Amino acid sequence: MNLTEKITGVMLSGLLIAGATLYFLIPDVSFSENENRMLTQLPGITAESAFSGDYGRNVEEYLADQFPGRDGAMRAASDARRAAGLREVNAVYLAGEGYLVDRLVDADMDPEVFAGNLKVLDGFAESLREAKPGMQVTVLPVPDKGTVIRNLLPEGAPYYDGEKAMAEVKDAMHHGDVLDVTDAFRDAGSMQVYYRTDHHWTTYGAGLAAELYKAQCGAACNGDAPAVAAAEVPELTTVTSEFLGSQYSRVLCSGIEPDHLEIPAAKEPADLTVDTGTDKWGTCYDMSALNHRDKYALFFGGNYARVDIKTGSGGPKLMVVKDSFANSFVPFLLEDYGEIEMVDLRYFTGSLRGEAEKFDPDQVLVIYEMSNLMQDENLLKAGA
Amino acid sequence: MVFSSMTFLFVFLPVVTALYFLVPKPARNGVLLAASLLFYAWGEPKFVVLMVISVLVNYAGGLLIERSRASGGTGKAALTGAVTVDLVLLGIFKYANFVVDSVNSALSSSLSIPEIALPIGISFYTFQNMSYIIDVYRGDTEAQHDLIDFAAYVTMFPQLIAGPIVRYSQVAEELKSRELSFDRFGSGAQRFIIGLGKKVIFANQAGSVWEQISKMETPSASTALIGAVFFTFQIYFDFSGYSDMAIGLGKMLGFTFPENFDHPYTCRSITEFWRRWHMTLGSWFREYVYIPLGGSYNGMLRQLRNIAVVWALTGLWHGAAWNFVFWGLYYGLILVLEKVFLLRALDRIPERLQWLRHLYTLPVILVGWVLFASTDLQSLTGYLAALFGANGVLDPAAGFYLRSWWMPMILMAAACTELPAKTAAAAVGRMPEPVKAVTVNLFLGAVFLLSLAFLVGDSYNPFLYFRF
Repeated sequence: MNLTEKITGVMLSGLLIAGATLYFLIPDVSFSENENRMLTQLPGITAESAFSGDYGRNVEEYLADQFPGRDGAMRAASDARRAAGLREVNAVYLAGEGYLVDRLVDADMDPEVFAGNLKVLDGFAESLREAKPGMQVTVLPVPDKGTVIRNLLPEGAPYYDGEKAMAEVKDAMHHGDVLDVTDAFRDAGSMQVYYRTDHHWTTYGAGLAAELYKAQCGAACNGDAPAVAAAEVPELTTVTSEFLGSQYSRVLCSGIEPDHLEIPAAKEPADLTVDTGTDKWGTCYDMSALNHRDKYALFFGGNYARVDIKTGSGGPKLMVVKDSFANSFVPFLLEDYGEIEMVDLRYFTGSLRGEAEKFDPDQVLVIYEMSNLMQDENLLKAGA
Repeated sequence: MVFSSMTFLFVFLPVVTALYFLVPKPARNGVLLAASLLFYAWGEPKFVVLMVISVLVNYAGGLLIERSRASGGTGKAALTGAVTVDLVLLGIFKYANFVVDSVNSALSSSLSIPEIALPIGISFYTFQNMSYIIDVYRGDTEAQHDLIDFAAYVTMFPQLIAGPIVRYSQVAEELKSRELSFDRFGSGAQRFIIGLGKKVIFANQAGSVWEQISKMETPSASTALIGAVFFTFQIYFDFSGYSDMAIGLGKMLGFTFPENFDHPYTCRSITEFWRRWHMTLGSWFREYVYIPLGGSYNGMLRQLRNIAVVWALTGLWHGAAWNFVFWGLYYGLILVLEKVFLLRALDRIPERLQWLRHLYTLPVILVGWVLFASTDLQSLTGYLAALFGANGVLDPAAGFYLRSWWMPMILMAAACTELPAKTAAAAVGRMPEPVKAVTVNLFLGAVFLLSLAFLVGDSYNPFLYFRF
């Protein structure tokens, strides 16, 4: 009698049948809070999808997405990887001081897209200055987290050269100014400039960048950011200490400290209006986001093609061409501008120049995460 | 469909196994055939037609040979016809684009034919078909009269798309009647779980390191070496894991498939390596090409020619690209060298210095896999140059990968040897049966659940041998 084999046979059959039954019993989930994405639903079958093999692929995607206990399984896989001593899980480095850092390497970047994007930005700046000579046009490439906290990455971990990329931006921008905040971020000392569990800059980091920007607008310089002492960042107030960001979602290990999420302590202007195209609010903050996983959506409730902000003062008009980094940055500018328009090219389908003609800004600011500038093709489309 | 997918594990396998055991005996091959066609069609619906044609041609070929024999003929015409169809289909679907591209670049011509997608598993089922028709012609086996039995043999889903290459004569008896037992089912399940773990836990992880390093522009020699080591792990665990799953599934369904791998990286010569790696392919070529060509008889020169032919073909079998040809010839050359003098020299190494032989075999195998890994000649030469120090010997990345991956590396290296299986067998061998049952199954259960966890969270789950 082979008890061992018999038990294996029963065990495997049991696990497979249990799995199949759970698939049936557990209702399908439409959205993964944790991964912040829609999950695949049971696909319908058509003659075409069956014959192309798409149906088979869709079913597999559906079953992987709807796996009973999906989050738990992902957590177990991550814990196993960490137990095996890996310093990287799902393309996220487990860096020092609890920082999780996206693994960004040369192979991820597209030199042609990067060069094309810079050309678009320079051409955009040139046309703006032709229309309004002397206009302040600034490109603020946000350094990637790993560029700033390089010394915390696992020793020798491959990472793309952020300094070289910054130098390329400065070289390519003949017509606008470039605001390089790398050194100021590195000098921030004990202040946390990036979240540990998310790729975004902290509200402090955004505030520091905003102060640097305001200082630069007074002194149009190229590249060399004026020194701004840490004390000059306005006072902040914590709205949650439970923020687990995008990188945490990919790593999902146990034992990771959540981040604090802050907003400027100062009251927003009384006459503030924020128009996202779908909603009109009197504030930059969507506090309901704090009940969800993606708490960074606190700022403006996420990203939109266009957001129009009127502060009620008679200050100048600013156009911000941006990715999500601008969302926590713009609240620091409310005092200084009368109207701010944010344009997000991932959602906006028109042309940049057309939008600038319509809005007629006094200043233009481009905020893009450096790695985004090296990969994202939406700028190319909008600049064409 | 692949074994390491949710569709296979939680839908296909439970349903098919249940049906298979529930239907009366005579209907089992029919269930197996229907399941196999569905299994194949899941990913490649249109190529089912091709496979069915191939099955029908060889089935008819077998009957024609038999009829010709009965009326005093040899059946040679039927054999030639069937083998020609097999080779022409394989040639068109696997090699036509490659031949045209090669001719174009050699003659700067601009012939063009439509891009032909490679039907999954065509190299495997074509070889199985050919083994059948040749064996029938040689009188080594009887022609199969039952179309369902024959089709079930060729298309049997456990080994359909990545081997082992089962010769008809090896399963002819079991096609008629086979023993299904609880013990065999459980023992097959054990083998299946081990194979799944090799594939998902080892091969996929090793592959992720190789993928990172192979994309670097200027890796140092050490980093390139680490990358090559991980590809060496990946291809072994991927392919042998798949074979384990196939053999295990076969056993669960009552079939005995031949072994395909026998700890190849522990070999002490390259000749031995090829007796331990993809054994069913090696024996196919030996049986149907090398020996018919005269094998090792008729003098050294003829033997060397035969080795060259077999190895050029082995290379090409693996893929329609020049790097596979180089890879085949590389091994052909080394095997010839071993035959001429190297093996004798190696055999003179005294017993206590046998480890020296691994210093020869492992680097040869490693460089072989680098040749194998990139079908693009430019990245191939770039990687080889890096491996031999074109970008310096050491860089910080090498330190990173070693610090991050040393534990998995040791585990994987150990798993390439007989050590874990022997140690485990010795350890559980002393246990009373119930304790053994609990220990072994806790381990297997953990491997299965961990494999599932990795599958759910991973997008990286390729099967290397699907290209062939």
